[in-house]
Amino acid sequence: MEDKKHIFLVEDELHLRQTLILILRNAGYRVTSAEDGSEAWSQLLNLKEKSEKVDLLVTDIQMPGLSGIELIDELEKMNFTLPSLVITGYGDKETVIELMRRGCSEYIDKPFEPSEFLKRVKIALEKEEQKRAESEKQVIRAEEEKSEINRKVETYRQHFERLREQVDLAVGAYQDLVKINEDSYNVPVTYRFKPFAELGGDFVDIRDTEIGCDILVADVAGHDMGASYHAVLIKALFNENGRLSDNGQSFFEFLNKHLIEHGKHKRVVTAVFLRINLKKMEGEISAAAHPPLIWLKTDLPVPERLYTKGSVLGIFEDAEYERRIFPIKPGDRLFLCTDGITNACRVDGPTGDKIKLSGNGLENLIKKYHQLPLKEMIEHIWQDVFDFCRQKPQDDMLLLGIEIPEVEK
Amino acid sequence: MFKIDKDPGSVTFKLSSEMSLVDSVIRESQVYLKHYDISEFSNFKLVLRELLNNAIEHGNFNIREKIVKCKIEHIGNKRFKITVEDEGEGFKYDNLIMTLPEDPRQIRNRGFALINAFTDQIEFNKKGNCVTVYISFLEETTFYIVKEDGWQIIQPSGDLTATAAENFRLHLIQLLDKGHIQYRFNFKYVEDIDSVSLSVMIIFAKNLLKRDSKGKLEVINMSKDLRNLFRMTRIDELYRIIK
Repeated sequence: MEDKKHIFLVEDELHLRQTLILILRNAGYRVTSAEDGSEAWSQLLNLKEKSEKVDLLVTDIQMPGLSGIELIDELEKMNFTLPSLVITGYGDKETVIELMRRGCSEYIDKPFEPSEFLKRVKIALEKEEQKRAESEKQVIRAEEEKSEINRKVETYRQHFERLREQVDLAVGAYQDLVKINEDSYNVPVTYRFKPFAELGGDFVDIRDTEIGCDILVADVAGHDMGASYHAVLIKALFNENGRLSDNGQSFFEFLNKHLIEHGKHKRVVTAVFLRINLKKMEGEISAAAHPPLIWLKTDLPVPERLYTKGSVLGIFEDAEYERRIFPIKPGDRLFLCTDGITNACRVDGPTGDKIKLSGNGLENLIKKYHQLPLKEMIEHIWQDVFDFCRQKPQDDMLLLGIEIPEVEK
Repeated sequence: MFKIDKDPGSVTFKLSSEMSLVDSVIRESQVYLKHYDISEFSNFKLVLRELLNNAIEHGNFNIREKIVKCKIEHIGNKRFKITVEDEGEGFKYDNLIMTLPEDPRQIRNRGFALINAFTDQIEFNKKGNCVTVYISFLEETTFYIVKEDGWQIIQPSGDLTATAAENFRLHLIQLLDKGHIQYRFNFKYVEDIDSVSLSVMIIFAKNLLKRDSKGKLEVINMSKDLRNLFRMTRIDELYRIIK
């Protein structure tokens, strides 16, 4: 059941006021009335304070004291917007146009029939009802949009978290990839590794063979997931190669072709493959544009670089890789690294010059610590490299040392 | 107490050990740096604040009457030397941890790690009550590209290292997409190239030749070291090196 609409009537002419009150009450409206503008004003404020709703203001324009217009203005100033029906008389036309401009609902011109009056009241109330319904719809629409945005944000958040989980898994997998158990191979190995970012392209892998072991140190350019993916691929192929026992030269030729054919996104890879043959007491090295192997003979503590020619992997179809064989004795030490070590650099404060560690710098460190056991030697060299670059590496860093063991006859 | 002494090429502050005066030093040094056209100030501010806080808190134990001396000197090419001295007995700097912690919440005791991250070199006097840091404002390498006689001339403004690689790659991709076939790189200002940038050049060469076998690539004004690098990596087979 609908509540009775409450109409507030302001009319100074007694007879007209009483007639209109009667007409409205008979039509089922609840009516409050005032004789003039000021009385209307205070009564309306009173009603507002009591939270009593007024659905329509019906007011004459021409009244003593506060006119209808002034009343409406005053109400507006108080942010009190009431839908209104204005009763106009002769000469009020301009006022009416002004009112219409201001969004005042309706007007009725004197003299008028009661039926006409009631019709106008009804129209004014309906218009107001429509306006209210429309603004409610807008509020609902805004709420819906907000929910939609919240839903989207939530979806993105979940998506991002899933990606983050995947990256964490990849990081874990990559870190596992690079771990090797130093003491479990035919040749004692010590190494240190620090990726530049969570994911990277440097790694080392070792496989025991019947006659010794194969060691691969590789550097994939980049510090992103793609680089890690390449690293995983190369490691898998190295494992496969271990089964086939191909030497470094063949392995690089195969790897090069494979990377060119299957590398959707080209990446530059450098690597070095060292094979230790404890039966023949020989070392065999092949390299793909990688920092050279450094050889520290047991009886001559002057490090020697072993260069072999070879292109970067994955770029040149006609790439060739040299193979070099050299004799090894128990106690000989061999060192491999990635260019993060040889390119470790520091800026000289006073001059601003950039100084690189370089191969010479690494050799000097090897010379410096050559009398220490292998494990301590690597630890000291590693610390010195970090001191050199003032704890600010610019790339993945990998340093590996092996020592040729005494072989039981 | 707060005194400022300005010299051509340096500014020296003498202040009593009050934390509030640190802000004044920072404000004045920002003004000083503007003379050298430096607007990106945040790293410098961090380092200076950390040094001054250390001097006041750990050097002078917040004793107001003790003085802190701070000198900022321009040593050429947007590089500066900051010296901060306190009146304390000195600081044992042997076992300073210079690496930033893995967990960012652990940043509390790593003041010097932060200073290290943003400076080129840190020095202490023997006693340990005077710290000198060298700090430089690196300009990002930009790429000057012009067309000359049908060749795209590309001149990097500095080294091709770290973040420059990505910009380099993007510029090259854009040029390739526009269909240009002849490229000449002027390495007059390039002293160093890292492996990522080398990769960018190699892959660019491959992509160019795949698109058009008549593609031409040249590099001019290369330093001896870089020529060696190109030779060792066979990049000299992709780019003609012109002396």
